[in-house]
Amino acid sequence: MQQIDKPIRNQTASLLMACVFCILSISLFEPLLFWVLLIAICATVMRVVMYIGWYQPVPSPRTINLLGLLCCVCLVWFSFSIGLLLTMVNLLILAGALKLMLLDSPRDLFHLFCTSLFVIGIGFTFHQSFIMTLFYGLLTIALLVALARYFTPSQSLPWHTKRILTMGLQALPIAILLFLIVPKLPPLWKMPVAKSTETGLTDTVSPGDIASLTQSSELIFRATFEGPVPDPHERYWRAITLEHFDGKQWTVSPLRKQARQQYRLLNYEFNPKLSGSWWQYEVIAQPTNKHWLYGIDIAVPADHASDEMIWRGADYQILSESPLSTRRAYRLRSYPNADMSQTLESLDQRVNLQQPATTTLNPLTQQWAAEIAMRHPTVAARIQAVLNYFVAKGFTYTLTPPAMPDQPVDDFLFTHQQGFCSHYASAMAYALRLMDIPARMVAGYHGGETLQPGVLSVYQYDAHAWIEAWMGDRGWVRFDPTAVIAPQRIQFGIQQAVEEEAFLANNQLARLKQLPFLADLQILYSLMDYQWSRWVLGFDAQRQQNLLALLLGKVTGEKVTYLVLAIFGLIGLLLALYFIPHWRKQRVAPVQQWYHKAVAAVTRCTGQVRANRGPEAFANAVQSHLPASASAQFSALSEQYIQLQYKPKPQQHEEKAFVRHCRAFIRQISRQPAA
Amino acid sequence: MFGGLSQRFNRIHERWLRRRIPANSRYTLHLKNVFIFPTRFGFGYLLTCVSLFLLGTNYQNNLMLLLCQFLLAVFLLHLFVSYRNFTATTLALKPITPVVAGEHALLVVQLEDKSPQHPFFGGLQMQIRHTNLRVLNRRADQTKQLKLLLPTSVRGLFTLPRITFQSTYPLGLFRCWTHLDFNQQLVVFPSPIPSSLRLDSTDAAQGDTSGPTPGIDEFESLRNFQQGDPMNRVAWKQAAKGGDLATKTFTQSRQESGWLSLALYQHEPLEKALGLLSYQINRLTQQQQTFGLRLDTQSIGPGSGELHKLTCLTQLAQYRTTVVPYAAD
Repeated sequence: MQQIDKPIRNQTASLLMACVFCILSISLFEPLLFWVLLIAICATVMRVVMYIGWYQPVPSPRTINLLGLLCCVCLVWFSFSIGLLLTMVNLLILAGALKLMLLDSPRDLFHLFCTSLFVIGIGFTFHQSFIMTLFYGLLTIALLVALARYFTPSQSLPWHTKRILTMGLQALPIAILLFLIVPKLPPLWKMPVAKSTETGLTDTVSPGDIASLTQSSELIFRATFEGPVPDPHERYWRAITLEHFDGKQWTVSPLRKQARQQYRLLNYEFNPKLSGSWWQYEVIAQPTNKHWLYGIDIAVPADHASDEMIWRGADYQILSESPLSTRRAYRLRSYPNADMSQTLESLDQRVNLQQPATTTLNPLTQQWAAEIAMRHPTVAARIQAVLNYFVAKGFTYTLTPPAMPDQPVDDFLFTHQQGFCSHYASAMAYALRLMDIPARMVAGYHGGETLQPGVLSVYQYDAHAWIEAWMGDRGWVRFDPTAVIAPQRIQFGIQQAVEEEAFLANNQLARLKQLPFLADLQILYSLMDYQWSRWVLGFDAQRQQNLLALLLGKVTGEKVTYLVLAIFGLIGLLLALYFIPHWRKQRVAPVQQWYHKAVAAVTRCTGQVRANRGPEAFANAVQSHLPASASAQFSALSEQYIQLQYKPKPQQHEEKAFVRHCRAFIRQISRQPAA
Repeated sequence: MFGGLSQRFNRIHERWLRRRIPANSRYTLHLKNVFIFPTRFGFGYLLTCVSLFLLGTNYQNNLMLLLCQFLLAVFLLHLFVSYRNFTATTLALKPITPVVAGEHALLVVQLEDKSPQHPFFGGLQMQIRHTNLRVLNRRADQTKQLKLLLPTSVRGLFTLPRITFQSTYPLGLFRCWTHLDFNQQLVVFPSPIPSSLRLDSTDAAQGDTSGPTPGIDEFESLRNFQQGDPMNRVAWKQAAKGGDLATKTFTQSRQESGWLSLALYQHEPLEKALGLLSYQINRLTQQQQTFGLRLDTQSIGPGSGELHKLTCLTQLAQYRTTVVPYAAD
């Protein structure tokens, strides 16, 4: 009797797919609206309840349509605040969840399957780490298992899992080959990007801000150097140039923004003359959803792909064409000895002599600056005087300075006299401006931990701020007041500089890092993550070109054609390996095998074919054709063979003896002249 | 116009199929008789892959591209997995038991694995070509049998059209199918119409008509006991009442044996007449009687038993009809 199948809504396949969908939704916790997630979970719970059988009827399509309409209206309302991309993600999950509630026919199952695959793809825009990739890979396998289970209900889930895993392993080499040779195209059209929470540096820096960043051990970027690595004190990674000061905080100058926009319209990219030695390196930046990139001055793109992606600003800042929503790799060349004097001087002067509109702020600083200006006529002397002041008054470097809300610069310079890098940079840049020296603040990172030779990891706590002052012919010159106060910060990094303080005090993870075993694990993970970013996430058109060049030497059209054909051939070969059955070992027992060999030998000798005769019949038939001794031997062999074949449990040594006899017989009979 | 065109196409297709997959009672599936093409879902899957590719390219996201390429590789692999699975089986149609018009004929197709190492998995759908008659057995790999009921409405001999078998194992991405002609006929007997027996007596003398023959069926009379009569035939009741020993005799009734003839029903419509005859054939066979059947020109000599019944009924079924392809209406 044929087993009657349960309706689709009660099948294991549906339940499994519902679970996968639910886990997927939860993994997208961040971009999802809370109520959308709630609906997805509700839908899954509904499935579970239906599977168990507490409640049977599927809700009517009309109810679900109504619910869907309601949800869409809500989503439109929220879409204004969350942006297009997130609205789309939410819509996708919502549609999936509603489908899940209605799931009642194979078509629904297929729709849900495709939706889930797509959601996994979307998931990769938010999570790209090795672990998450593995996680999504497993979910993909689970989806395939669910589908396979639907089509073959007669087999158990473990059976399906085994099959799908085997198939996945078989598909992986093909996928990797495709990954390597399918051309990496540039974006075909502009896509909406996520408006997600921004972490790290912002384009508005008030002195206290950077101190709070040091509480985070989040990775910002990794740089892989080809050739020499800069010394620790040279590792100033510029991120943003801040040129507007309102008395309390520094921001990107509106004038600068305007100028940049105009240059972009005219497609006039800043192109300084470069000289001197250089470092070449690749940066793999973590997503920040910001445009700015990190580079050591003066940074220019090192290859075409990076050039396409990067816009060089006249403030020596490098900007990405689209915000960094995913990990991105780019290659730079930095010329540390080149003069930074090739910008438009008049604009730079005007922007960088700007002063806060409210002159009542920081009166003491204004007075102090005027005094210094009176005493020191030259630019260099004035700058030196400010730095000397910091040293003479015994300023200290601390991560936890007192709050200075009202008169930030005055309080810092004259009252507390302790602060963090941004306090020093802010105060100094402001003072210089008061002395008629164009000055600005640069925010970025300083330092980097060596992951392996030639590779630096830069973390959030490496955030740093320093200043630049315009010194006539030399152009912009970097000054770092922090280096004067706390030289160890620049030489050894922040961890040494603030040892006495609770560095990363709030970070449990960082504290765990102290355990040696976990520290090793952490390093291992970092290394793996680095290779992952470099070879998988960072495999872009440039790398593909390099790989082709490595394989083909000079890349020509003809060679590429051959390569593509070779890859297809390779894929065909793989398929043949998987599917041509002869390559699989025929499982013939040795006893049988040797008997057949003996029969073949007899046939050669006598010309008698066994065909479908039984062993005994054949032995009798060839008796007259064989010499007496051989005949007796063959009869004995046949007898033994029958014994072994029909014995319930033949002993190992008996089988071995049989094989030995066969071998002896064949040796003997082949010496006989053919009949 | 389109109707005509599609008919012509069908004819050409049919002819092509006849050459490519000649009729046989048992098929081993292989490269020559199997077709494979992505299903609608397969195309949907490809569409998902394309969207993932576009998304991955636009976001310059390698993992999305890798996912897309993995899914494509899975798709490619399943082309072979589907094909290998479908060709792992041998299909044979069991002889169809003839049925009476109005009943359903049962088609039983037996599956057999070619080799135990590579058994057939998944469900199998079977459909009579050009009809809506189909059955999907989702556990065909377990039951090894596909059963399909064919409705019949009129008597006759029908050739079974090609049967389409299809499998979408393992992920429904590809549909493997084949159209097989098992070269079998479906015999539909006229539906019996109950009636009293009417045997052709005109030619009754032809048979052995020497009155009742001794038998065991019906009690006839008592006669005086003779030496050697079996003890169980003695009428002990009479003996107990004090009478002589008497022996009961029995006869085998032969009065209803003879010829069934269509000529007796010439006033009835043909189909009804055949129905009446059908009923009587069944009845006579049940009573284990010997009878013959006369249709216009053919006649079947007297006989009895199931085989005889089938011969007679088959004659009725094909009386004045030609063999036509089966068509469900």
